[in-house]
Amino acid sequence: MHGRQKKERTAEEEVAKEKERCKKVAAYQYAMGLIFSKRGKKELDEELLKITQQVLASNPDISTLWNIRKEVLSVMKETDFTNFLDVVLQKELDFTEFCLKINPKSYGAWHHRTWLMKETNFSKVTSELKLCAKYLEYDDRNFHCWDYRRYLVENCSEVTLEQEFDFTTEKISSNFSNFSSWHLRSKILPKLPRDFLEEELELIRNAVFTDPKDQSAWFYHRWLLRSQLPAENPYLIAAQYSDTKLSLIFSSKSPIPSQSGVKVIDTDKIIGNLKWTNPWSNTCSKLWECQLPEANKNISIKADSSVMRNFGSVDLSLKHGDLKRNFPKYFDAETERKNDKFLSLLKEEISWVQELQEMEPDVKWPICTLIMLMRMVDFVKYKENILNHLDKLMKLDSQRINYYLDLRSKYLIEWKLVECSSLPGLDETVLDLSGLNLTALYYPERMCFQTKINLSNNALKNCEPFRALVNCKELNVSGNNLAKTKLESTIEGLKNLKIEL
Amino acid sequence: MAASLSTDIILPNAPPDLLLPKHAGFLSKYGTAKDDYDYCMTEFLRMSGMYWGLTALQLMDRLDSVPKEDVVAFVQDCFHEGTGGFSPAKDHDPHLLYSLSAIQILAMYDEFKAVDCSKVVEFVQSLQQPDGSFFGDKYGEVDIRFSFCAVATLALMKKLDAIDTRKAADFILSCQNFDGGFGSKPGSESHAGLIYCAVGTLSILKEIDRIDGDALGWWLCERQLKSGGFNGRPEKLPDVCYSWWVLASLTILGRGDWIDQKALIKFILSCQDVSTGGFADRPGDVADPFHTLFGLGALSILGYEDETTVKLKKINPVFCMSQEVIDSLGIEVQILPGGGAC
Repeated sequence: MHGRQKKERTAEEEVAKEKERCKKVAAYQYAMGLIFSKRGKKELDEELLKITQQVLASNPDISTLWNIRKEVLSVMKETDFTNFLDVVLQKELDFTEFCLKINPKSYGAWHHRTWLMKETNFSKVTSELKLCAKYLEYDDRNFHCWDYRRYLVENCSEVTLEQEFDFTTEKISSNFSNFSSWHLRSKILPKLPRDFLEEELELIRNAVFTDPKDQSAWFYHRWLLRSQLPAENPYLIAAQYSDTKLSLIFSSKSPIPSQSGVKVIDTDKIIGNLKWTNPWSNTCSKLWECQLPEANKNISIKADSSVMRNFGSVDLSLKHGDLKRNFPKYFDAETERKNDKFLSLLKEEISWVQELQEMEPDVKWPICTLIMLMRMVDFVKYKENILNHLDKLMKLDSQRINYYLDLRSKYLIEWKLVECSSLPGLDETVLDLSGLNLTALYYPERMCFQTKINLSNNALKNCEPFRALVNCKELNVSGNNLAKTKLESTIEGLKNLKIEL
Repeated sequence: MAASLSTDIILPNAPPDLLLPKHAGFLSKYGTAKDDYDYCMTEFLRMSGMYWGLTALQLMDRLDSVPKEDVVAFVQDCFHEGTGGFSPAKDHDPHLLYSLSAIQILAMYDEFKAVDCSKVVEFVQSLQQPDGSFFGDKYGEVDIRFSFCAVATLALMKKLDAIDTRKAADFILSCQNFDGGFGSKPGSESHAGLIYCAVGTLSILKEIDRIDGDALGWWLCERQLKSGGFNGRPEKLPDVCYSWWVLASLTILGRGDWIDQKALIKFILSCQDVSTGGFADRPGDVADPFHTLFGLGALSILGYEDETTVKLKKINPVFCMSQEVIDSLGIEVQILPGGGAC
């Protein structure tokens, strides 16, 4: 029972109410008995329509009654299609609308209308679209109605994509807080044949300056800018071959290598039946390992040029003991270098969001957005600004402090890894991530060749990322919130590991 | 314009303690008066209503307050030999929604033998479509709620191999939106309840790692309002049932600590009806078994306990059933590792 307020009634009122309810129950039970008995006798006639109508009118959620109506209507359609189309359909639409007035979120009533449209080849689409407009006027977040409307549009040629786009503009202009419209816009925009970016940013600016606390336009803004970035398919960034074990590291979560076209070749022959595993037994992972049938072979890795892009798009040959890596200096499409045109657009974005942030220092959304924009422009250069903004967020929005702490940990690790990547002999020197107040260990796969890692004096609590530290020999995790036995059992497979805890 | 002003509630001062005996009384009494108005008017979802009430009772270790034989007989009465599906009540039509509830109830009682389960498998199987989606029944409505029902029903009976699981997962992913969330079908707006169905289905299918836990986790933790309660979509009011849909989803994503757990507990406790027992969607509204289960379920995930009450049993975040039952069936779900391991 959603949103039904409890009413205080006097004893007298209670008696009257109870009497009325008893009557309703008796009527309901009588009608349902009649309906099921008629259905049992296959009396699929107008009378059955009438009785089900009486019950549904006060309770439109009884889906079986809608089913029974469909059975009766199918018979009527079969017997006299013209009459069905001219008379019956309209009556049925009117009745469904009546039910929607009682419960505008009735799954049964909306689905019944969908069924009617399909049965009559969408002959009434124009008036149906008007009905949708009316219901969205009444509640512009009614997702049943939005779904029904989309169903109509997809199945008729009356509404062009442009018109549909204009409809969302109209709805957004009358209420910027209409997340449903922003959502639909995100679906239409990629299908339109022209570039909308500037116009969209203008609309977003109007929305967020009107009400900077409203999430709707901010979510859309985030998506819009990120959708301009190239899609990042996982590609190989490192491979290690030692003993009989082959480890592959990917830029982002990749399905099992054998599925993504990665082949391991031993002098012209593909090594078959390799059992790929990852530390979390996931279907997608950034780290994949397998045991090779024989040691001391010269092997090569073969895959699509997109997968091998960091190794000059050619096969990667590996001798026993080899570690070949080409870690990019960015972590996702957001942190990758952009072209100048897009960069200058992003800088303009930073400038107006900053302006809004200064006007509304207590609102978190401009700050969240600034962090994203700064990461997109130059995540290394903006390090101090990003950290300051994160601090502000933690103060302003303490409910989500653990989320911000994890985010902060992720960024700190990114900066550290970029900084270390240019150091020589990095695998043997200590990777020092101590004293950063890290709450999460992001990118453990990029630390997997490291033999010495110092993570002391942080706030780490989850042992799972440690599974990826497969080459680690000395691990300092003292001064964290990790349970010793849990950590030891999690990384049981790691040999010769000295843990300081 | 300033919609953000009207999309939260103000909680009454101090929330009551957790009133478990009252809630147990509320639930075990529910349905004893067969001619009660509300009871009759909810006949169309009776099977799910039974599942909500019984699961809540089991979390409070009071399942024995309802006669098992009556429940199993009711489930048997709602089984349709012809189709293999379950209806919400006798004479009503079978549907995936009620088939899951029926199988959950039978699992709770270790009574799969009460019906011909191979028929149930056929029913679920017959409703899968070429794109991997599921009809709810023969009338053709598609919704990821039904994907969840189908996959969870089969998983409980250990019969997932009866359907194309890869396609089922692909369909779920086709419902993902610009904000990382999921809607009822491709193109539909994100909604916390449907996100739970998406995340739950992928977890059962062991494909949850195909989604970006950070992006979706953030959208979900943004559902928490100042009152501590969760809404289901941006700029909407909080409701106790979203405590479950959101928190269970975050738990499956390995990010249950991204919210203010204390504030959520306060909100949930405030939604108890101290006179009748049970939980309502919001403080001061009418209590019902649906919100009672989801309020208690969220408290169970949060490990809530106070000095006055016994501890709630642990709940499984995917099946929304007591973890004991899921363990006894030997079922494992996939939970993202979290902590940066993604």
